[in-house]
Amino acid sequence: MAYRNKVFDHYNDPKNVGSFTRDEEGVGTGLVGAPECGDVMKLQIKVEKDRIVDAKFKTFGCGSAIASSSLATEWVKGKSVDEAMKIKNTEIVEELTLPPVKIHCSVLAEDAIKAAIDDYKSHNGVNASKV
Amino acid sequence: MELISHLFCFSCKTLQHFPPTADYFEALGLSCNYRLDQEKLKKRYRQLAEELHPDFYANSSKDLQHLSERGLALINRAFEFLLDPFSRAEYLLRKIHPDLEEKERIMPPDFLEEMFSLQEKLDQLVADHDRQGVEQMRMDLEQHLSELESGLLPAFEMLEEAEKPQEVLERLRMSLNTNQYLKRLLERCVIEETE
Repeated sequence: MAYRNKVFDHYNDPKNVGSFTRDEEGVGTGLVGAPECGDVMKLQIKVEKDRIVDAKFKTFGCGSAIASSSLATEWVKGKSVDEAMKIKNTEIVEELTLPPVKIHCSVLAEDAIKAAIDDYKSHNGVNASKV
Repeated sequence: MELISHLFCFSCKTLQHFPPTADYFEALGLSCNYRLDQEKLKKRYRQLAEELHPDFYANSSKDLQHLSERGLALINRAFEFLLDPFSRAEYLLRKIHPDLEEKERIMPPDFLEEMFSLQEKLDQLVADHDRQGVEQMRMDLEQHLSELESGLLPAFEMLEEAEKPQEVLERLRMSLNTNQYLKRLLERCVIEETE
């Protein structure tokens, strides 16, 4: 079977591109940036009964950044908020086999997930986590 | 040969070993300062590029040949980094305050919002084939970057005199981060304009 580059797949056919209305109930929005390269990443989650039922993202950045955020939206879907909080950038690096120079893209995706969850919690009366 | 660089031994004038982390200012024989005479920088670079030309090392030992190749690569890098005001500032900042790491990443939320909506706006301008719109955005960005750049020298001068350098440092860090985001947008505009 021919070698398939997962970053290429996500870049070519990214999952869950789009957005939710911010003030919609159950929506959490994370907007993060990477100062080393100027990437900006927006990741949104839709939560029902403490479970993430849907996620969307929009990323302006390199292929690895797009792939990392695309993967992040795939991974958070179906997880509880607490489970999603535990997603580590190292898991993203492994899944996408990111080279060292692109590791910061995975960090950005992890930051985006946490920011989205914090935002959801602050809008829905739950104490936001102290990072 | 006028001794201008730390790459050469001050007594016997031969090329000497240097670590991978060799200082760019020292390599080009310049004082470690944000304030820099561009003409002097270019002159030093040209002098050293001549000195390190492979022809002069053709009959030297393999060791010395290899060292001269590395030396040439170093001064090329040094020249590139020190020529651009933002990368020079970045380099200097990391030298003076290597531990400024953690706070680096955080930008104010409204700044990121602005960057994000500028990116979206550019997407829209491209979709609408609005060349003038893209050109206008490019000019606005260049203006903003030029303003940012003119704030760098005063910031470094303030850093030397400041009683509480932390504030100045953080503002400098913020300017350099801002530069990265704007540069990204500008690059996109330039690409779209040439399409």
